[in-house]
Amino acid sequence: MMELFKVGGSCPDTNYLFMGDFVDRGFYSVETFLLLLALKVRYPERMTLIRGNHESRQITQVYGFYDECQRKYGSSNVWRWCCEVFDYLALGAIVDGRVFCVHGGLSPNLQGIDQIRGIDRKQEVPHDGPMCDLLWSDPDDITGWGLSPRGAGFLFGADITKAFAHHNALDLIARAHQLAMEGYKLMFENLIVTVWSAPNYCYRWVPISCIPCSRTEDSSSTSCGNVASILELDEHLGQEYKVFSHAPPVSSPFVSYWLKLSVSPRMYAQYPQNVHRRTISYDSPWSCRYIHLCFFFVPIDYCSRIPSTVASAHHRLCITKVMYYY
Amino acid sequence: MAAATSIPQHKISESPNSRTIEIGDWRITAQTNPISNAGECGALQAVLTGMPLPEMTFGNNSLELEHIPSQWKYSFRAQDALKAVKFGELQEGDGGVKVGYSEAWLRSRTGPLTDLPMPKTMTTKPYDWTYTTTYSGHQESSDISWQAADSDNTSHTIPLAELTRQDPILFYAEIPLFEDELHDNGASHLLVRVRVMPTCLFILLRFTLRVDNVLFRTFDSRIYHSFSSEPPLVVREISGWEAPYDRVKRQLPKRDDLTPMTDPNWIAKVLTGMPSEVTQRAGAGTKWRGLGTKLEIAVLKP
Repeated sequence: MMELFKVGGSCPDTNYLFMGDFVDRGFYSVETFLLLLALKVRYPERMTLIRGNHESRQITQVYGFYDECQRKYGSSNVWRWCCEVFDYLALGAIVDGRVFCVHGGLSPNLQGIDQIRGIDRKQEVPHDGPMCDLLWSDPDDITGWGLSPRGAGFLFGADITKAFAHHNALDLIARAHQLAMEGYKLMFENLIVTVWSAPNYCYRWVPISCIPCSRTEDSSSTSCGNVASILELDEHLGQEYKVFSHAPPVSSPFVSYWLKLSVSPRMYAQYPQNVHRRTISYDSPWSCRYIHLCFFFVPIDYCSRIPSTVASAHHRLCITKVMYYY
Repeated sequence: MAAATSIPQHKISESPNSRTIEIGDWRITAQTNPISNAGECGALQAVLTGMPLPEMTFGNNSLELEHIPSQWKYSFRAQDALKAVKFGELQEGDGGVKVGYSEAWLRSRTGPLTDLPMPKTMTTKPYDWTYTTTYSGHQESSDISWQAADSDNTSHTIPLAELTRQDPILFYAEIPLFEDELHDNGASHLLVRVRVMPTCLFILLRFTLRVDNVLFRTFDSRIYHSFSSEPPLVVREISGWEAPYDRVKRQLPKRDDLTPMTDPNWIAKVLTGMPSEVTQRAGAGTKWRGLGTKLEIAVLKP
C-alpha cells in the first residue's frame, strides 16, 4: 500500500477511492485497514472506502484477518470491532456522477443507483440478494444474466452493463474482485474495468526453492509475478492507468513489521457513526482534482519483513520440514 | 561416517528461471516462472477449447524427468493437468460439487414467498470449477508402459524408511502448476515437488482442494526411482482421498483457528490419518472416481 501511495501520491494531496478487500491473505491486514481508517477519519473528503466481499465475518475467519488479529492482539476483540466498522461501509460510490464504483458488479434486482441507496446495508454481507450481488457478481462474455457454475452468484453480460450505464447516465463502471494479470482489464468496449492493485499476488508464505548447501533463497521461483494498477481520473474524468509492481524488500525488517500506529485501533471501532456520517454518500459531489480508484489487497513479502533473527531460525525449520516431504 | 552414503558425481546448471541436475543416467529440469500473462492465457485457453483457466495458471512452469539411455521422458505441466479437468456437463464419477449455500441461494430467488425474482439466465458451458484433476504427470512418446506392481516384489514399493532418512538433498524444486481461490469459496492447488538424494529421486505431485463447508480432496502422484535398481525401475503410486468439510474441521488443533485448513500438508495429513473406508471409499458422497490407491511400475530398458 505504501508503494501504491508512492505511485499515486499521498493522501490528502491525492483523493483516493478504495474498492474494498482491505483485509485477508497478507500479514498486514490490521495495519492496512487501520491506516486507511485513520486517513478516512482525518481526511474524510479525501479518502473513500467501499465494502468488498472480504469485509465480512465469515470470510475473514477463513482467509486470515481473524487469525492475524488473534496473533497481534491476543484476542478477537479488534477483529470484532473491525467487522462492526465493515457493516457501515458503503456498497458503492460515484465519481462526479459519471463513474460508478462497486466491488463486485451488478444485480438483477437493481436497475437504478437510487435502489442501492435504499438497501439497509448495516449488516453482515448476506449470502444472497442485491447486497450480496454488488459484492460478488462478475462481468462475463455472455448475453444477459448467467448463473455461476458454482451454483450461486450471477454473471452479467455486455447488454446488461450497457443498459445499466445508460439508465444511470454513466460513462464507466469500475470494479475489482477478480485478479487482472496486467493490473487492469477493460471489457464491453471500455464500459467496465476491473482494477487490481496488489502486485505479485501470493497470498501465503511459500518456502522458496533452495538447496541448503548452495544457493541463496530466490523468492521469484514461487512468486505470482503479476503487476498491479491504479486508475487515475483527472478533472475531466479522463482515465490513466498507472501500472506498478511490488516494492523491493525492506532492508530493516524489524521496524517495518512492528508498524506503530499512534492511535488505538479501538477508537475507530467505537466511533462507527463518525465514519458513517462522513462517508461519501452516493450523491455528494466531488470537487477534487484527481481521484484514484484502487482495489486493494495486501501483497505478501513475509520473508523480508519479519525480524531477522526470528526469520532465519523459523525459515530454516520450515525449509527442512517442507523439503523432506514423503 | 563409514555407513553414510557418499555423494555421487552430479552436475547442476542454473539460469534465472530454470535449474537442471544431471546425475548418473538422469537429467531433471525444473522451470519456475511467474504466472502466465494475458496473451499466454488466451493461447492456453484456446488449446483447452475455451475452458476458463484457474486464476493463477503457471503455464510456463514444468518438471521434466529424462532417463538418457532409454530416452524415457516424464513431465509435469499445467496444460496437461488442465486437459484432465472436466469441461462440459459433469457426469457420475466426475465428483461435481456446488458451493455450500447454493441451495439457500437458489431458494431465496425461486421460493413462493420471494420478492427477488430470478432473471432468465443463459446457461454458460459447465465445467468443473474446482479444477479437480487426476493428472499424474505424462510420458512423452515412448514404448515403455506402466504395469501393476507385483505385491510379492519388495522393490515394487516406495520405501518410506529411505525417504524419511534425512539424506543430503542434492537438488530440490517446488513448482506450482496452478492455483485458484474458487471465487473466495475455497482453494484449489496443484504443486509438484522433486528431491534428488545420493541414492534416489522422489517426486510428489499434489492436488489439494478445499470447498468451504463442503469438502476436502487430496490427489497425490508419487514417483520414486532408486539409482541402484537394475534394470532401472520407476515406481508410481497414485492415491486420492476425500472427506466432508466438517469431519476435517473437527481435527483442528484449535477450534477457532482455521488456518491449518489452508495448508495442503495439514489437509493431506488429516485425510490420510482418517480411516480409508471414509476417505478412500465413501468420501464426501460425490462418487468421485479419484478415490483409492494404485501402485504401478515401469521398467526402463536402455
